[in-house]
Amino acid sequence: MSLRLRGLAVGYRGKPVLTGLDAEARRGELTVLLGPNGTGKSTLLRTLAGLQPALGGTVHLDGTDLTGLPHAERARRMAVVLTDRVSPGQLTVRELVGFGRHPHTGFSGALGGHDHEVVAWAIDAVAATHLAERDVSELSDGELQRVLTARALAQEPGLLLLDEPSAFLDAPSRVALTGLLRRLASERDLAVVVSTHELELALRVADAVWLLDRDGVLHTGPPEQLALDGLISATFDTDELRFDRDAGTFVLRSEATRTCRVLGPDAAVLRRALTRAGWAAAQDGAADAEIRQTGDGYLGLADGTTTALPDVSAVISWVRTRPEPAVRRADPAAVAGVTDSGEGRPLRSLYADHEAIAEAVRLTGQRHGLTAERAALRWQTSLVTRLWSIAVAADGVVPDLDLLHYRLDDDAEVRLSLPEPGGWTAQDVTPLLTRLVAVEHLRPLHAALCEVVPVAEELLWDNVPADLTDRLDVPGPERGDRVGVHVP
Amino acid sequence: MTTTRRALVLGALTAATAVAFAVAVTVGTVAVPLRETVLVLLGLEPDDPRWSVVVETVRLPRAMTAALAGAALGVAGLQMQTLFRNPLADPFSLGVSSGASLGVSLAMVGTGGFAAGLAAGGRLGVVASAAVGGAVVLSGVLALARVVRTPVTLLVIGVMVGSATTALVSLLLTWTDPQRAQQYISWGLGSFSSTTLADLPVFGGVTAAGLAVAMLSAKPLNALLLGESYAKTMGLDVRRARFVTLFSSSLLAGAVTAFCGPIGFLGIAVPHLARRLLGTSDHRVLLPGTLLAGALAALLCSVASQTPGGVVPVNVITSLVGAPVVIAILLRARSLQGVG
Repeated sequence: MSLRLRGLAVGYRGKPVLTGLDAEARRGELTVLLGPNGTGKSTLLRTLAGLQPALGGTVHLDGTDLTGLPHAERARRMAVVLTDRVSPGQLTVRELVGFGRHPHTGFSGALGGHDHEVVAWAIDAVAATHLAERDVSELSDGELQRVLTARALAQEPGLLLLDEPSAFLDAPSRVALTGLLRRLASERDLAVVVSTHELELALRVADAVWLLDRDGVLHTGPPEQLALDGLISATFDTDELRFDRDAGTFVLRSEATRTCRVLGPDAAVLRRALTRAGWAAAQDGAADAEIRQTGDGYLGLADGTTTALPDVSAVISWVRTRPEPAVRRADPAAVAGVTDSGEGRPLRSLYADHEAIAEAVRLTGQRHGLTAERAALRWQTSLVTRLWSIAVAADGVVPDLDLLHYRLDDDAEVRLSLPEPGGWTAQDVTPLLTRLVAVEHLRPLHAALCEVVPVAEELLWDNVPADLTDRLDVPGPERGDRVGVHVP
Repeated sequence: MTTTRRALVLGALTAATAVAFAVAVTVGTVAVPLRETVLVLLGLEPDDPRWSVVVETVRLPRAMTAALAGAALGVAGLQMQTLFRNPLADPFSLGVSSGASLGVSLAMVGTGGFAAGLAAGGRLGVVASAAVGGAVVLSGVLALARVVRTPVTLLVIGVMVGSATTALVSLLLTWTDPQRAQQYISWGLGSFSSTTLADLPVFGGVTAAGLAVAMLSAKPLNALLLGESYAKTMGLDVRRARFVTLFSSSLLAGAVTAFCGPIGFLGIAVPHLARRLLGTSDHRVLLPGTLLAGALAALLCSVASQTPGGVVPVNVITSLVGAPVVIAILLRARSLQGVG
């Protein structure tokens, strides 16, 4: 039970526009006719509707050749909604829908009991019962389109053809109308064929697609098949837009030279904003920048620094103003396994927690029988050694040391972890390493220790492991000044 | 609810038409007592046999002609408004009346005289030439309407075609005997009074035939309200419907023009009036409503033309009333695409 085209040729006055069309639209399914402008979609639909003669081939509906049928018989089997704007004057919705009974009524056009029932059903089917007594001229475009569809339904057809029914509608009405057509197809077991420009919507809701490509070839199949075959891209991609097969949507084609990795639940949405701003989305591998979602906003990571971004507009202006980066985001895989992925709190918050530091130093001293000063030095060494081992664990990549989390174990030893693997890569990582280790960690650590234990900052610095200080760009006697540490 | 209202409106129109008919028979340049008029109408012998002559040979044909002509023009106007999907279409505005005039003048020249042409059996020939002349123009305008999409442009084209046709008529007249030309010119002013009792069967017969065809085309006309494409997809044989509509409206407009001269504005204004009163464009109600409203309007115009100062040409009255109606339609219509 279906509409079947075999070798159909359509066109005007003997000039074929499309030839050799083979397709099928099954009952119970929504079939969408897609194609760029000027490929002959309307010509095909008008031919199927019987508004112009076929130039060759056959059109069968449920096994009956439509081309040979008299007007009225044809109108009982199929109904059409056209792009023609109608303004029939003073008519109520019920009267207009009643005109759909035309092929079923007698010479006078008078409606009988059954006709009235069908009209009421058709109005109900498009959810327009509350409009039934309204004058057609008072309807909005969306309402009128629904009413015209009801009129088509009143013909009690097996096939419903609609030519760009959403052309004059606003976005919510388009979605509503498409949903209605889908429902009608399955509930009333109708074959519904719709031509439309609403590509993305059509590809989401259509059971089957008839795709007219630019060479006038008609491809048919489920939308996903056509997408996988690359036919949708081949037909509709432009210089500005390309079809994203996985997302089923069209995306802006950008000449993006910079890449950004987006992580978190909002990633798909944020990627669109990035694409628009001229960035390409990166999945694995190195990237120029990275955006992460946090509990109350986003983090922007670029050029070795991490910036808190409260909302999407902050994200957009942040990516727009990124300079050419000297430091890029590394492939997360290079950092994976460098730390545990244990729970914890941000390490940098520890430096403000003087109580916790004092307790850790006290415990260290107690356990090893050390003075407060020696205990502070020992505790520092243990923390900094762990930090350093993470910092240099991956070759050529500096992990996100500023995003490290910590736990204190029973021995007051600091356990470090990186909740999400990530890091930086650059030609020369030394400046980055210096800043992340010395500025982000050593300086606040020393400041905190000085607060809780009677120890000289100079002494603390001298006790930082040598293999670390050698690698950092912190020379000689003024090193304290260089890293911004206040020397008393 | 609405059905009741429509029945009431149709009933009221019928009653008003009957009253207007009676008034039209009563009013005239010669004062005939009302009682005498009623007696004549009832087929009884009045006190003075002259009343019988006045009423039977002058007023009765005039009132009948007015009623028939009004009904015919109204219905023809409605058919054209629907066919063209143009609220301003009517026999006059689309140049159909001019085409009919050309047919009449050709028949007149051909038969050797207006009076002779209109006399007795020749009447039918004149009606036929008027109808053919009207149909030719209407077909031409219809062909143009398929190219021209805006109603106002089509109207301008109709006026131009009308002017060209009128010019042809004038050309014919300059080559005609001045006396006949004079007859033609007075005919051209429009009148319901030039139809004699003997003419009525022909005029009435042709008009009734045209009206009958029109009344039976309510269903196709309704389908055409949505435009020809929609009508076709609803199972209408559009070519046949178009032909039938063209045929009957040309017949109606042609007959009226042949007997009464070109009458303006009734065809355009009456369908709007009826649509207003009935509140619908459904031709099953609107066609009879337009028929009645047309008869009523023409009778009222006929009565109004019998001024105390003398008989005014009926076109003066229809133009005085009709022109403001057309302007009102133009001002009111947000979009002229429809026929409402």
